[in-house]
Amino acid sequence: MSQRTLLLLRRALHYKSFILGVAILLFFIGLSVYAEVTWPFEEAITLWNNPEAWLEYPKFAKPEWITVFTGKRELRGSLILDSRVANLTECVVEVRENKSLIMCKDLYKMREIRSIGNQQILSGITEITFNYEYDEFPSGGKYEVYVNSTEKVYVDLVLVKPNGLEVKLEGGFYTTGAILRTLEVKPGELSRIQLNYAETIKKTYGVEIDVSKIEPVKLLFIDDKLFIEKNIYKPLNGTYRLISSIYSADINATAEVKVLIHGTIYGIAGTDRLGRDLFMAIAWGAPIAIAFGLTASVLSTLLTMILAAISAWYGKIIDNTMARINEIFMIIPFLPTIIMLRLFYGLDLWGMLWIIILFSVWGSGLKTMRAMFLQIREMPYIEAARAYGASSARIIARYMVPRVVPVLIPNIVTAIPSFVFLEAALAILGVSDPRLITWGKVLQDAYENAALTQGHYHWILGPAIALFLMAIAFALIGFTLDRVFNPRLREL
Amino acid sequence: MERSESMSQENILVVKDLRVWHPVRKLLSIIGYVRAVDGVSFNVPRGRIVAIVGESGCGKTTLARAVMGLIPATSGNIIFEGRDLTKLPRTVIRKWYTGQVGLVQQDPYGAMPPFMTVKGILEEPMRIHGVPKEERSKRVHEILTEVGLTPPEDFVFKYPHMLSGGQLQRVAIARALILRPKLVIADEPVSMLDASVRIEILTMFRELKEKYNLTVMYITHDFATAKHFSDEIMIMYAGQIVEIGDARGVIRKPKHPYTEALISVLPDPDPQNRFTIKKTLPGEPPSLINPPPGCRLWPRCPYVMDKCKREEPSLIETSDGRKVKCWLYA
Amino acid sequence: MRAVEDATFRLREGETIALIGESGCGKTSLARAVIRFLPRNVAELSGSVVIDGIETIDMSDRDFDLKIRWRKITYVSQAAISSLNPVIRVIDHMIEPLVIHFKAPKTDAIERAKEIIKRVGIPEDFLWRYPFELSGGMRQRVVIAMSLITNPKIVILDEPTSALDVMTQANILNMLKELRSKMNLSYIFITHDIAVSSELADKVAVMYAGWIVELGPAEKVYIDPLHPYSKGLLGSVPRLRSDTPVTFIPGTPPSLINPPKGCRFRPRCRYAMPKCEEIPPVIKTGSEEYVRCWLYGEK
Repeated sequence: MSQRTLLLLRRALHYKSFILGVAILLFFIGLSVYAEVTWPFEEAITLWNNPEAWLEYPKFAKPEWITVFTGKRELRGSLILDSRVANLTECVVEVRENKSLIMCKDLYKMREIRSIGNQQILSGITEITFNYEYDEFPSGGKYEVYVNSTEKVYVDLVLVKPNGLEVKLEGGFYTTGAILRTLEVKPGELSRIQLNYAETIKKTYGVEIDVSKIEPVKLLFIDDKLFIEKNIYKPLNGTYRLISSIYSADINATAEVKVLIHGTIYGIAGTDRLGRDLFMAIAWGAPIAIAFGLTASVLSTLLTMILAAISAWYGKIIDNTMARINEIFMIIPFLPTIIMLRLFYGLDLWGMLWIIILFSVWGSGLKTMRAMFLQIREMPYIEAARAYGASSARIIARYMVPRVVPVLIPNIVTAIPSFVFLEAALAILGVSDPRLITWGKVLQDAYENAALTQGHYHWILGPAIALFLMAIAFALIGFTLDRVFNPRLREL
Repeated sequence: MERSESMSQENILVVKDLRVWHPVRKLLSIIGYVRAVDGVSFNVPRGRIVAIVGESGCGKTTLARAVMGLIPATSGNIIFEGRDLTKLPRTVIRKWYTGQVGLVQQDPYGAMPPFMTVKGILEEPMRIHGVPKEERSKRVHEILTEVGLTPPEDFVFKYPHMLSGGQLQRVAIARALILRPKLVIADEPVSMLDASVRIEILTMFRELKEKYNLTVMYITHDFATAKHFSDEIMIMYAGQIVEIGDARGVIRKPKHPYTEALISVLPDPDPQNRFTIKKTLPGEPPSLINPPPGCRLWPRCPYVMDKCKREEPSLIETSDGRKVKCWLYA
Repeated sequence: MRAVEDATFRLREGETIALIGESGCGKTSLARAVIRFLPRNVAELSGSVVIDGIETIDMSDRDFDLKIRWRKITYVSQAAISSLNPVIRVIDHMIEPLVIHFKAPKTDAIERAKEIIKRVGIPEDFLWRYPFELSGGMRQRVVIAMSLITNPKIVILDEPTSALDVMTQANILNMLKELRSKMNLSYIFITHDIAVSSELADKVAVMYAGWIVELGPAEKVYIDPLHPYSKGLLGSVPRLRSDTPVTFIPGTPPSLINPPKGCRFRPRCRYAMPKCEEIPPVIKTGSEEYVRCWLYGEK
């Protein structure tokens, strides 16, 4: 039997559709291997469910390769300006671990000593320079100031744009601790930076402008002249200087500044609302989808087959009872039931799997398979088997099941994408394993956060295309197997 | 119980008043019975070939299946070598009786599982009955040679669709004989084969019967092969046996009106046939559900008497050993 | 696959020819070729088929359909009984050829149907029943009636009685005999049952591997066949009324795709000679007797 299977499989290779399907499947398997190697399972799950791990990543970043089509230059990942390793005169942009890091040598030291009143006030200045040569504004940003001193410390943070315009970010007294500020703003609110900018513009150009419509981070990088004169929003390219000065009576006071400027593109698949790398989600979604689909399909088909064989062979009461149970399950609506079960009992992926299998096994597949077995039961060779003393179990296992297997195998394969889609659909409805990363969950997240209306197409397209490709792969393989295993039935 | 009659070396099978009735159901209640086999009694002497001849629907197939133990008898006894099958538990029938009886079916292609090789098909009965592995291989080779499929190596790994009808039927016979049964039931074994192949197969079958001292029940509708192949003939009509006798005698001088009509209607290749209109029985065989009283044939019988309409005749033994179910011989 | 090669026979009015032979010998293909019921993938159809004086081999399919089929010659097929449409009444089955082919008005067609149905021995009221209400024998009669309703000269009967009981078969054959004399019909009778063929045959054509190996009057072929295959074939028929021992022909019929060189029966023939490696011609051995065998040729 296995010899024959090999022959048939070899014949399948003649079909281009089969090769294509297998190629796509191998791609997903490769992806799964990559996922496990790069982010081992437990690590991946913890990482995914921990927002703090993604703070330094841009949110809603598009996939990097999009710039091939748009031709624009965009900031990849995030610009991290860290004064803890600041250099007074020399700063170097280093790319480490997909992050753009501006490293400045020498520690931040107190430089100048000034007297104010009868107190000796010390001050120190650090300057970080960086280049911004991009066609798109940053998507957001934040900065942190860590102050460590026995006395109060005055922190002054100013950004000098390439055209000389100075925008004040920070100016105030702080005690030991951390200060967190974001360069984004909630709608309806105005941040200090926006007000500072308006003031600067008024001073420099003598123009009053409405800053309420533009985010602070954009104001920091905008080409002011184009903006004021022609109302054009374009980022200003050139060398920016971030000058931080602190004043304190404590000679040992230190202040460290870390600025994060988020870019607009990242990775192969972009990022979601938490800045999570969607490629990780897609890569990990593959093995979970395959495992789920395969298990569900194989188990439900095997169980259906066994039940159908028993029902058809023994007939009478057993058959009647099973037929009635079958009908009951065909009537019970699947979706509302599983949603309810999820609500009341909470279901992890295994639980969902078992419920889905239960409904599949007792579904309409059982009726068709029973019909097939009934037909086989009437064949003369079954009677012959009874005549030489074969037991019921033997007849079912060795004479009836092998007849049905060539029909089953293509069915199993073509059913896999249905189960994968089912899981995704259920996830979108909110019925899914809370911990795992699946394509459905990503889609659900995207959907709930209005990804399409907000224009974050990559968030939806990534998992959608993955689902689509996986379905195609199994469909192609399944249909070819069908033609190879059941030639008389399928060839027209 | 007449143990003496059945325990003697003479009769391997004694059937007494066998009835196989199928209930006809409407919803959950039974409204009648299809009397497929209705009161059949006969003996099968050991080592003989007994043909059961009749037209389609007469019950011969049902009778064969009942004797095989494949369908349960509604009433009556089937006594095989002294043991009454109707009283034995199902497990005993499956484990013991199936090793004593072999079945050859009509359709050579349908009788073989298409996914098994010839070797697999022949080994199945042996596996079930616990024949050890080396013995199995040996027997497969032996039996293939015996049924004329030589060299055996050429056939063991073939699948059914690779063989012709005649070859498959030989495999079927091999399968029926592989457990060295005492009784073989052949249900229309050659009807689906070509004319010239039929004789070949039947001749081979006869030789095997001699060699292994088998008893054969040959079910058919074809009188001609029955005459050439069997020792005794039993004619069946409407679920009953109407005549039993030696093959040549029954055909040369049929006694029962039905047998007579049947034989007169069957042609030999004779150019004169085209000039004669054959005399046939009017009407059709009766319904098997709730048949009318009296002899089953009386509405069509050219010799019908009053008694025939009222009383069903029993099997009457005539002086020359023939048994006829007809009042003409009372 | 050479289904039929070089087949020649003549049929007179009122005469019946039986085509006998085992399965695959080409008898059905030959009959179908005469009435042009051939599958679409026929590679070659050549020779001469003259029906009622008209050469039909060159006719277009359309012409044949209009002028020959149903008018001159009809066909009763093997699966006839099961090919009756279960949702159409008998009467509608029967008038179909008249209405469609002859464009006869329905009332006339119905009258003719009534006439014919009586001839085949079925009561008139059965015309309004559905096929499932009729027994196998009656359905066969209906199909035969359908083939006669257009008053053809030749009827091809392809295994008309194989699926029937012995008694019913006899009744049908009786009916066919009567109709033949009453309507002066010619039959081309195909069957694998040699004994049954003698019930109608005036002439017999024995076919083997696509050839007609022997053609002769019934009196000759059934009693004293000439061709080695005919001998073997007739020898393998078990006789009811005599005790002649039965023989069989060892071996199997050859492939029609790649037939053996020379005489196609040579591998199984016990009289095979070296000359048999050449294809034997058709040799006339009597006034209407022909054999395709070197045994009867010039040495």
